[in-house]
Amino acid sequence: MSMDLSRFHDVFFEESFEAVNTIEASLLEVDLDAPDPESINNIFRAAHSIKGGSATFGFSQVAAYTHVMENLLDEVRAGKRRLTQPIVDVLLESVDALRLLLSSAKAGEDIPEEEFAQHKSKLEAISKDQSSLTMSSATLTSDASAPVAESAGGDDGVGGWRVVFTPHKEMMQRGNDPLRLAKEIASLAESDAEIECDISTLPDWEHFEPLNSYLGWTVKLRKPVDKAAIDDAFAWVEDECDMAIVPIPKAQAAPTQTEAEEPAESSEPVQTAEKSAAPAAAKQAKPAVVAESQSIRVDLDKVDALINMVGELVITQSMLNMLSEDEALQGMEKLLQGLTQLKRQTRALQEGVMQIRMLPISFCFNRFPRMVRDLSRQLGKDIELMLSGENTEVDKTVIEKITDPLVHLVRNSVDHGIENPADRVAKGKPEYGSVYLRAYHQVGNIVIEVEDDGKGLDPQVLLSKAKRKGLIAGDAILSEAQIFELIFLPGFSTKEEASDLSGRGVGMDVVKRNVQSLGGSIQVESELNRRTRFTIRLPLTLAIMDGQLISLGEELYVIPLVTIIESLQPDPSMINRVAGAHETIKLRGAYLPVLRLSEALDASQNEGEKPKPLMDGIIVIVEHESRRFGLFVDELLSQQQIVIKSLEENYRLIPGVSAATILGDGRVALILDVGGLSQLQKDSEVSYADAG
Amino acid sequence: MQMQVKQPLEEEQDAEHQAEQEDEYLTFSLADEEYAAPIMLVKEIRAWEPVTRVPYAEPWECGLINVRGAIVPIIDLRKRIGLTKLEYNKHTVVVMFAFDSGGRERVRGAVIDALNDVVRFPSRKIQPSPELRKRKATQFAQGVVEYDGRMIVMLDLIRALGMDIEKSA
Repeated sequence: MSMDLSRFHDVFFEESFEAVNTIEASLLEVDLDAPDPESINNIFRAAHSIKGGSATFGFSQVAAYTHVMENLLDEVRAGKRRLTQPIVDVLLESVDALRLLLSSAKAGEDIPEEEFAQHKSKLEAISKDQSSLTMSSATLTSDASAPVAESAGGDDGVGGWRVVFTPHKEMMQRGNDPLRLAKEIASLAESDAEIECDISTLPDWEHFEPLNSYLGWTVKLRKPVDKAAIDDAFAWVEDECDMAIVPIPKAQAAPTQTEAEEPAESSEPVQTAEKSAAPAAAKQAKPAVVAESQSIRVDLDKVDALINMVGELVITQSMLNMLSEDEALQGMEKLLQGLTQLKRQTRALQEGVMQIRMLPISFCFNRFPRMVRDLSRQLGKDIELMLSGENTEVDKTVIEKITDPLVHLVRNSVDHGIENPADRVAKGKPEYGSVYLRAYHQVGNIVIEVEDDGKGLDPQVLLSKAKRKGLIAGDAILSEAQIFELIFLPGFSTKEEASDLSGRGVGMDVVKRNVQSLGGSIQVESELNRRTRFTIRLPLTLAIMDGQLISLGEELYVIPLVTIIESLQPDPSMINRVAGAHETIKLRGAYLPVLRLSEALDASQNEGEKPKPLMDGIIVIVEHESRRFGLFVDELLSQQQIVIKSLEENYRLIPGVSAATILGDGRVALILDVGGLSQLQKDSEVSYADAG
Repeated sequence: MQMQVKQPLEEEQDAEHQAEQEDEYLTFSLADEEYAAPIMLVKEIRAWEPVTRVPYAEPWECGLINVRGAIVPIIDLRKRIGLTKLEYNKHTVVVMFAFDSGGRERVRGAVIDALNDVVRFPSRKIQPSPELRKRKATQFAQGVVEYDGRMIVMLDLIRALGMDIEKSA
């Protein structure tokens, strides 16, 4: 029976990449002086599962590579080898190589043999390196209490092994195939092996459960195979079967003598089983306790469809709610109760469904320990990265899109922010620099901070540079906060010479644009020679946002709440006109231009009607790219969470509008794009200027 | 943007009637004229409902409505082909057309005067539209067909619904 395995490939790759991440994270955590056996076990298991999977699916390069890795890790796990810095370094490199191999395998390509050999030989070299070998294996062999059983395969007395194993009933249900295991063990001795199946526990047909395993196997290996290899085969199933590995003395290993050896050893398996299983169980006990979170992989499209459906349900529910206020229904207590219940359940359902898309931000943060480690080594700096709030949950798409900007900010901190150790000492700071990466929730937003205790930003340097580059007028007078904002201008770079680390043509302007495209904002604070901190505020999800509903005559629009600074009803003394046409308002000393939204949105106006004076409406002060301006609207209505609906799906982009939403009564309302409006406002100024 | 109008002809391969494959069309009226569109493209038929105005829209674009959670634009076919606008009332019909665009469905609604019929005829019966006077309607016509003594104009839906001008917008 042949089965098409390719449909499992996606899952295999996803799991393997996760395993690679686990290995990397665990390697970075390892304390060389007192390695935690649990984390070494984690690494080993992850490598082992990649090896198993890749062999099953026929990705031979991956399997061959992880095999070498696994051997090395097994020695560490067994205490035969000390985990040293060089080994960790090589293993980290091998993590990269493994990623490369996996991506190539995923793309259906092989790495060129030469390159592959290069990767592999590096790993093999360290495996053969004797320097980190401990004496423990030698002490073990000479230990009288554990004679032949623990000795390496080449030992004189051992001519082979008899492996007796009886899977627990549930073994197959956990996805392990006992027969495959038997064959794998047998294959260790190549052709000199014999498999016997014990069918004595097979139940009657009536009681037979096809998913249970009732058989036991005895595999005789007539070759002095390394016992570690046998242990390896069982690494996954140690606690899912009873097993014993009994040495066969050399004299008895010859095929002719197998029968004779049988009775002599018959009493031994039980005893040895206890002996070898007990330490194994103790070793495994710890990781087994670590609760694995149950999860399934779901296509994002399906989740989106679900979110859409819930969105409709919310609208229907609010429609019913409006109907329930009808007087004719007032007597129907039960109906009204039911509606109240429906309302509560709909809200719970909506929250639950939105949660599906949420992932902890650790999915993004996890890459940084490695990155900072590599970068700081490359730069000869000693830098400590401190993460906090990794479990803060954010929408998956937000995580995906925020990763690149964060990489840039962290690189900047490491490269530009933190000084060389010598400079730091000279400044009286600790030799090692610190970079903090924090995430936390704040009123419906997620806040991510990247902070370093490096040299900070020098306002004087920034200002003169911006002037030299012609980014601002030579006589411009700016506040310190405004000066820091300059680094987000296109064409600004804080370092004169672009280093090969950060000088990749991506500037802070791109970071800012990316953050804004997610509906977020970024701020910078700095103290010279003390610290620099970037604070990013993002909506928790791209599917919903907080909006301010406003009205223009009969029409309703939504302004994203994050862009609103404040709203006010202007006093006549605040209103000024520039060149007779441009209305501005004076707010705490600053003159802000005002955009009449009804004009900007081309709303119909009765012929000859005079424009409404600003005092008769509300001015909403909004900010886009540090530029503040006022939007003149008729009325402020409620603030609410809105579900964002794409306009381009069936229509097209509209200037000044970013998307649409559906209100409680089923009507469509447009969501305003403050960036686009800012442009419209500037354009209108230009056309006025041209006309004048 | 590559817009594909699925030809029902390709779908049903009826061996017996292969020579005389008939397609189904929905016919409707605009002023006194009768128009037709392939029924395969008709997603649903709705009554007129208030729309949300769109800034900078073409005069024949009415606005946006919510169709089960999707934002769908509605256009006035009368105005599009150069006829005077008819006041909307509760009998005004909106035909929702769905097109396949790169595997995704794009929906657009058209306001018409009234629905007439569902008719069947083979596509070979469609003749080129007569070049009468330069009228706006003819530029949205793919051809005409004679059916039951009536002349029916086959609409070029993609152009009539303004889906071809979006890329420039």
